[in-house]
Amino acid sequence: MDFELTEEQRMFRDMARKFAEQEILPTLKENERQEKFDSSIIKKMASQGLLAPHMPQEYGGLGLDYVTSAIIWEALCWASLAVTQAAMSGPIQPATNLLDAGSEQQKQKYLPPVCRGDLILSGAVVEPNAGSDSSMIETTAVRSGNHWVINGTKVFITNGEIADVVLFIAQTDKSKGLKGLASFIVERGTPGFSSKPQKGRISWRGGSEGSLRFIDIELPLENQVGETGRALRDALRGIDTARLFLAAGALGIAQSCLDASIKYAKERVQFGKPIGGHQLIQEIIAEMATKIEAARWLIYRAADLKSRGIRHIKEMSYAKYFATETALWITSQAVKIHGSFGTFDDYPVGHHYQDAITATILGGTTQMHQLTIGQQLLEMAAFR
Amino acid sequence: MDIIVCVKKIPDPEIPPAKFKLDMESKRVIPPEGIPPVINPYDEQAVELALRLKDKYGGKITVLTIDNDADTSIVKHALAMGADEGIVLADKAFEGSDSFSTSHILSQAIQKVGNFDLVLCGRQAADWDEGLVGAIIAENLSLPLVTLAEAVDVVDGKLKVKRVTLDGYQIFAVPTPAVATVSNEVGQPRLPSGWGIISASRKQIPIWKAGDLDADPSQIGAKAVRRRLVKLFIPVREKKCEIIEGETTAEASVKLAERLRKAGVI
Ligand SMILES: Cc1cc2nc3c(=O)[nH]c(=O)nc-3n(C[C@H](O)[C@H](O)[C@H](O)COP(=O)(O)OP(=O)(O)OC[C@H]3O[C@@H](n4cnc5c(N)ncnc54)[C@H](O)[C@@H]3O)c2cc1C
Ligand SMILES: Cc1cc2nc3c(=O)[nH]c(=O)nc-3n(C[C@H](O)[C@H](O)[C@H](O)COP(=O)(O)OP(=O)(O)OC[C@H]3O[C@@H](n4cnc5c(N)ncnc54)[C@H](O)[C@@H]3O)c2cc1C
Repeated sequence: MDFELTEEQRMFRDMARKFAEQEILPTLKENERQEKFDSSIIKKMASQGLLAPHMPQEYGGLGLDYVTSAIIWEALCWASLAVTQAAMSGPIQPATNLLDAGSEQQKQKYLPPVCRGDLILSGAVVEPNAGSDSSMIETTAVRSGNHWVINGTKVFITNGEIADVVLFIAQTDKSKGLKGLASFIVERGTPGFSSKPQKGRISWRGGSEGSLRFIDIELPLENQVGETGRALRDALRGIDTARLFLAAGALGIAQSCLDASIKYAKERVQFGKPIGGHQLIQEIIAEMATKIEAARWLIYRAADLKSRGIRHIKEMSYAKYFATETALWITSQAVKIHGSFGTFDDYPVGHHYQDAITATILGGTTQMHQLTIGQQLLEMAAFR
Repeated sequence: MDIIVCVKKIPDPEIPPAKFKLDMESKRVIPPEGIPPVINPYDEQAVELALRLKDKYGGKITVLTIDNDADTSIVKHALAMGADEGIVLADKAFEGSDSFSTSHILSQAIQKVGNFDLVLCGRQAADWDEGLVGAIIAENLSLPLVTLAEAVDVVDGKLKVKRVTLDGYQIFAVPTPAVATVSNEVGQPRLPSGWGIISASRKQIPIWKAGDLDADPSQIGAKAVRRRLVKLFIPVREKKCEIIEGETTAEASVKLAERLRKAGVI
C-alpha cells in the first residue's frame, strides 16, 4: 500500500491549482453576482489538457486513472466547484455514457469535439416528476416508421441552456417501467427542441442549469444510443464517474475553507490574541482537518477501485455522501470562523458555503447514497 | 533554433518568513519542511522565452540543471511546459561550488550537448541573487552576451534581443550562438500542459556526472572556490513606535520633522 502521490499526480495537482487561481478565481465573484457561467473556461481547460482527464486518449482525453483525475478535480474546485462542474460535466457523465453504449460512429462524431471543448454535451435524465426515481420518467419516445418521435421536459440540466448536443433518456413503453427506458441523442437546431436557463439559484451561482423542452421531435433511428431497456444501466458508469468527481470537488472546497480559516484564525485578533489561539476555534480547525483527511482517503480508495475495474458501489457512496456532507459542515464552520466578513463574497468561504448544499443533491442525494450503502450491507432495498 | 536553458532549483521564495531558517555554522539555508523547492522563477521565464522562440521557429530546447540531489523535478517541470530534453548534472565533486565552478560545469555540459544557437539563463537565481552564472558561461565559451533580455527574435539570420534598462530598452543584434540572461519582463510563464505532464513524468532523465564532462577537476567543487562566505545571517529588523505629542497640530508637525531629521530619514 502506497499513500504517497506519484510525481505525475503532484504535477497535475500543482498545475490544476495554478490554473484555477489564474483562470477561475479572478472572475468568480462578478460571475456569481450575475449568476453567470462563462463558458469560455471550457476551451481554456481543453487547451490546458484539463477538460477530459479520464477519457481515453483515442477520443481526445488524457487517459488518466481515476485517482489522478480526482486529484485534478480537487485542485480545480479549490476555486469553484460550480464552475468546474459546469465546465467538465460534458466529458464526464454523458460522454462516459456514450463511450460505454454508443456506436463507434457516434463516439467518433461526438467524443473528440467534446474533449476538445468544441462541442457542449449535456446529459438529461431528471424531469419535474422524476428526480431520484428514474422509473418516473415521462418523456416519451414513440417509434413511427423509420424515426422516433420525442415529447417531454427535462429540468436542472447542466448547460441545458447552451448545450450543442443532448444525450437524454426517454420512456418507450410505460408498461415496461425501467425496462422501457432508452437513450437518444438530439442536436440543438432539431425542430421541436428548445431550452431555457433556470435562474434564481441560491447556490451554484457560477454554474449553469437549464430546462429542455421536446415537442414532437423527430429523431432518426441511428440517434438511439445503446439498446432499449438498458438506458439506466448504460448511464451508470458515467453517473458513477460524476459521483467521484463531485466527491473530489467537495473535498476541494472543504480544503479551500480550511486553508482560508487557518489563515484568518492567525490574523484576526479578538480578546487580546489571534482567534486561532482560542481553544474553541482550534477544536473546529482540528475537526475540519480530520474530516478532510478522512474524506480524501475515502475518495482515493473508491477512485482506485474504479481504476482497477473492481466493484465499488458502496465505496463510491461512502465517498460521495461523506465528502459532500463534510463539505457542507466545513464550509459553514469556515463562514462562522470568518464572522461577518465571511458572509460577504470577498472571502472564498462564502462562495463555497453557497455551493456545498448543491453538492449533496446532484450526483445522487445523500439519502440515495445512504440507501445504497444500506442495500449493499443488508442485502435489501429500502427505496423500492 | 536550438536552445539550451540553464535552470536552478531554489527554496520556494513564497516561504513564510517564520519557516525560513539558516544553519549559520555551515552557512546554508535549511530546506523548510513540507515546502518543496521550486524552479527559479527567472529560469521558468527563460524556459517560457525559449518556448516562444520554438513556437515561432521550431527547433529543440534542452534544459540543464546542476543539482546534487539528482532531483529531476524542475527539469520535468520545464519538459512539461514544452522543452524537449533535460539533463541533470550531479556529482559529489560538484559539492561546495561557487559561481565560477557552477559556470564551469554548465559550460562543459553545454559543449557536450553541442549544437545550439542560444543559451538562456535567468537574470539571477532568486536564492543567492548573484546574477553571475550567465555572464561567466558566455566568457567561458567566448560567446556574445546580452543580459536582462525581455524578448528575442530572429532578423536576417541574427538574434534581435530586447534588453530591459531602468527606464526603457535597448535592441541588440547578436550573431549566433550567443548567451542571454532573461528578465522578469518576459511575463507569466505558461503552465505545464496535461499532455506535457504525462510525457515528462514518464521520461527517463539522464544524470551526467563529472566524468561525463570534460571538466577540469581544479575548476569544480569546494577546492575551486575563489571566495569565502564569511557570515550568513537573517538580519533582525526592529520596529519602534514613538508618539510625537504637541499642543497644536502645527507644533506636533514641527517636532515630527525635527525627529525625522535626527533619525536621518529626511
Ligand atoms: C446544479 C445541478 C446540476 C444538475 N445537472 C443535472 C444534469 O446535468 N442532468 C440531470 O439529469 N440532472 C441534473 N441535476 C438534477 C439532479 O440529478 C437531481 O436534482 C437529483 O438527482 C435529485 O432529484 P430531485 O431534485 O428531483 O430530488 P428528489 O428525488 O425529489 O428528492 C427530494 C428529497 O427526497 C429525498 N428522497 C427521495 N427519495 C427518497 C427515498 N426513497 N428515501 C429517502 N429519501 C428520499 C432526497 O434525498 C431529497 O432529499 C442537476 C441538479 C443540480 C442542482
Ligand atoms: C552542486 C552545487 C553545490 C553548491 N554548494 C554550495 C555550498 O556548499 N555553499 C554555498 O554557499 N553555495 C553552494 N552552492 C551555490 C553556489 O554558490 C551558487 O549556486 C552559485 O554561486 C550560483 O550563484 P547564484 O545561485 O546566485 O546564481 P546566479 O548567478 O544568480 O544564477 C544566474 C542563472 O544561472 C543559472 N544557474 C545558476 N545556478 C545553476 C544551477 N545550479 N544549475 C543550472 N543553472 C544554474 C540559472 O539560469 C540562473 O538563473 C552550490 C551550487 C551547486 C550547483
